[in-house]
Amino acid sequence: MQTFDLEANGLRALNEALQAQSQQTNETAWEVVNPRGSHAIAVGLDAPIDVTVKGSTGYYCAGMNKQATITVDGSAGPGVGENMMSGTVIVEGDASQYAGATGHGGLLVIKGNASSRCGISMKGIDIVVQGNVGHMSAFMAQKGNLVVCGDAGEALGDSIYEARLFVRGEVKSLGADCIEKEMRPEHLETLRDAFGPVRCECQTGRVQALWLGPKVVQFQHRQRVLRGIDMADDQKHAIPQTMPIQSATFSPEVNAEIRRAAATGIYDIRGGGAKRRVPHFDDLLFLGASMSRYPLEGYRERCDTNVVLGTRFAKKPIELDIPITIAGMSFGALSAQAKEALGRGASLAGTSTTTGDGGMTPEERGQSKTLVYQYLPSRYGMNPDDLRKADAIEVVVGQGAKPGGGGMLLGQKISDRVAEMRDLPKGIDQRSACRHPDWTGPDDLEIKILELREITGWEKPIYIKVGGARPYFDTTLAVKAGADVVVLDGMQGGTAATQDVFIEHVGQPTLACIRDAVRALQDQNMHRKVQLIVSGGIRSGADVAKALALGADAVSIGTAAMVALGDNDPKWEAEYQEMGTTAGAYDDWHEGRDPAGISTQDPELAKRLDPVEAGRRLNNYLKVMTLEAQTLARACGKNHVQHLEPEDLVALTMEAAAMAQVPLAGTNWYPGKPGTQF
Amino acid sequence: MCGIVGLFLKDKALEPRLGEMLSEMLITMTDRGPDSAGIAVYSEDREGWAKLTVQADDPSRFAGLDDELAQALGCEVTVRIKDTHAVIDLPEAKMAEARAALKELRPEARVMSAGEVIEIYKEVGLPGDVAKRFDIPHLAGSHGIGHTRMATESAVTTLGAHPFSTGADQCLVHNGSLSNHNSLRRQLAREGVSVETENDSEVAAAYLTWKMQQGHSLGEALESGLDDLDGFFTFVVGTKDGFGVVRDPIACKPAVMAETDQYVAFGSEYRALVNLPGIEEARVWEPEPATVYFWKH
Repeated sequence: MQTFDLEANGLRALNEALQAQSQQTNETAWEVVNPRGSHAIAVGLDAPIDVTVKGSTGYYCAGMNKQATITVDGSAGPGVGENMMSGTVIVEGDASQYAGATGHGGLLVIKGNASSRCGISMKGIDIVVQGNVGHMSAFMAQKGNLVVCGDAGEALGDSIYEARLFVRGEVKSLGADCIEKEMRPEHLETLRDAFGPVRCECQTGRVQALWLGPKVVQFQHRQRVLRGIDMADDQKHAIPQTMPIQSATFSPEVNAEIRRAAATGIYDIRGGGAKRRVPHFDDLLFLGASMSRYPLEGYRERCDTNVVLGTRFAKKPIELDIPITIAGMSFGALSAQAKEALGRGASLAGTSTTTGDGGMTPEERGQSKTLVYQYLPSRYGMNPDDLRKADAIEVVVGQGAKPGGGGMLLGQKISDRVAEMRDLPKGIDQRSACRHPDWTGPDDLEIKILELREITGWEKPIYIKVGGARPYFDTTLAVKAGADVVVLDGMQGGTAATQDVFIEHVGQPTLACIRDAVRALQDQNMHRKVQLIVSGGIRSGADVAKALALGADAVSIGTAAMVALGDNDPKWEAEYQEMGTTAGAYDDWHEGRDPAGISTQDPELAKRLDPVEAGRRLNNYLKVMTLEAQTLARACGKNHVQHLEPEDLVALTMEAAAMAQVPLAGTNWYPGKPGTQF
Repeated sequence: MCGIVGLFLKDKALEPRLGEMLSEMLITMTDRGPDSAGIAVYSEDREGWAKLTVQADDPSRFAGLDDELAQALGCEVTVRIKDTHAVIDLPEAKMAEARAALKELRPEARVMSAGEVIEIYKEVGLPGDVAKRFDIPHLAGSHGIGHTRMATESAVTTLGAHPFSTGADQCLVHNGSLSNHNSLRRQLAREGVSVETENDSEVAAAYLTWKMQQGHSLGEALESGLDDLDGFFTFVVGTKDGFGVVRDPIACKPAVMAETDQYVAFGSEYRALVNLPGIEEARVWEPEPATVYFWKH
């Protein structure tokens, strides 16, 4: 037996020692003394060892566990056994909220009570709670079994998918989509299969198998369909479609939308970002050099474009050749071919790509030299192995298209492979949560980041992505929570699918967000120490150069990358017309009928996209953007694109001048300039 | 966004150690809030006497204040200076007069708390430094509340630090983020209740004070707060002889409580409670959502 004194030797040493144990280790028995409520104890283990923690633990004990048997000889704080993959976690006392959150496999036994949100977003884990569970337990539960020997709190199993819940006592209330079902003999079989180990242990008196018997009641999901409710196939073609967007109060397209809403009773869902015109980078101009400043010679005199991301805490920061990265777009939203093409193009251009809300595919990892792994509220496909394979981790708090909302993936795109990767039923509409399942707010996020760093050995840069809402506060708090990099996404940033009302009416234009975010970094003396990546409507090297001049370290592209791959290409016009739209306006990405084979899971359509060719196009496009940005930087006399400054810019409109805080062209003034009046 | 601790002593023998225990609990929560820290302590009740805790950025401004106040009020006044704070002990009947006089004599001094027993100490900085500056470990008392702040939207200043006191012997600390505090602040202003900072938590404190002015008990005020305050919150509140806890119905912000024959303790995390005497045998639980908990001496 190895005894480890946590207070004397520290968390890093403990997790390092435990994570280093191999399959064949002889040191199978470990005891951790003096835990004193510490966070992230025994996280990311991957060996068949037995760890007993002598006392109560803080947040995320046994997080992402594989194989190990971890016993908490006391009570456990929030998120015990979160995202566990296999093995067994036993809590002798009570468990705080989020116990077993997003767990994929293994067994979690809580001998006392579990607090709220037990088994939230569970994805295959088996959980036994011998006492009661609190409110919102099994929220968005996807797979696995939750057995509650006592009572369950309010809204049990809200938005449940295929998980099974068994409760012996009273249920205060059931959540939406959760219904009581008959308990049949095969369910007892399921329980016997799932909880065999518990039963065995029960014979030795360690765990009492209280769950069997006729009093146990079973709950399961009701099939949910967000779109097309009760609508026969022959009626579907009759839905008035949203027309390509124009603007005015009751324009034809507004009226079309009213009629569509009146006919269906369902809000419009679409992909992409804000389509309305908002002040943007086009409203800014560079001053260039002439007499007072000296320009650099194109091609001959150097103008660097490299950027290093994650220099604050990560042992292995990311080094990119160009300051343009590929934003997170999920496999599921996009076809495997499109994801592969993004990886190929980005790698050729010397930049990074990002996973998205659906896990990491081998094609994508294989084709991406530098891959950022998104950590999202849904935690689809999240596992410690992929986490360690990533080059950086991006904790997604929000997205410019929908700050304050979660994503959607409609049933049409949930193919066998997508369903398997996400632990979802095939063909059933899915919505992602708007908040993370096991933390809320920057004070808790700080502990979540500690856990992620402990699991990945403090190597990976941790990004925090926020939507353009309150950029000053959001950036400040991301830095306080421990971010290495802040990703800020304005309202023109795209999404695979969300409500049109969200896309067009929530969040700020990208241009309006940058200066506040930079000021937040400067106020904490963190500008250039915590890097800022700006996204949302970046289309050209001019946009890149202007974002950098306003203080960003890099930019990120999503929609533009899709267009480079071939999205909305006029060569598919006939097919767009058939769907009631036109090339350039096609935004029903959630329907999975993309003629270009990008935002689809239809194998026939997806085949149309050649990943090698599309990757080559993306590389070309990234190169052009980089050359353009260099051209502008050289014209301003800079030997690095990052040397561009706000003082190199003027604005064409009052709005852009106010948002970018650069003077209106021909003046030395912008609205809101300190010491001036309008 | 913050860390909260609270301690309500049942065993009088522990009272001399209140400041020490509370400081230690608060220091454990430093990671949850690096911006500012504060502590409210409910100490000995001297019949007929009250106290006023005031703050000034320049403590030299407290020099001679005792004599000047004594002269203005025509009674005995003592002033205990602790770093940027001063605790003024004065006859209970003279409280209103004293506050008016203070405004004249030291317009820059800010009132942290007023009441028969409450003293509030708060400043920008880490809990350990703040505890040291005000010598909190040596404070005795029957109950106390501490807070360490990670500011969300309002400024990192002394006045923006918690606890907030908006009524006699009342104080409140908050972890979370309210979403309707601006309209509530305007409503309270129309009711004649003033809120000094842009801080959402101070609005919650003022709301409870307003409710209690209308004749509601603290428990009732907290109950109605569940309807009127929108957003995410865990509140810990103190009154002259009471101590209360309430979480919003969603209850995402953490909260752990422990109770023994000697005390009731609150912590944002269990770590805050590990050094309390007899914690191994204590009843440890998480407060239920939308449920008011209240203890009284």
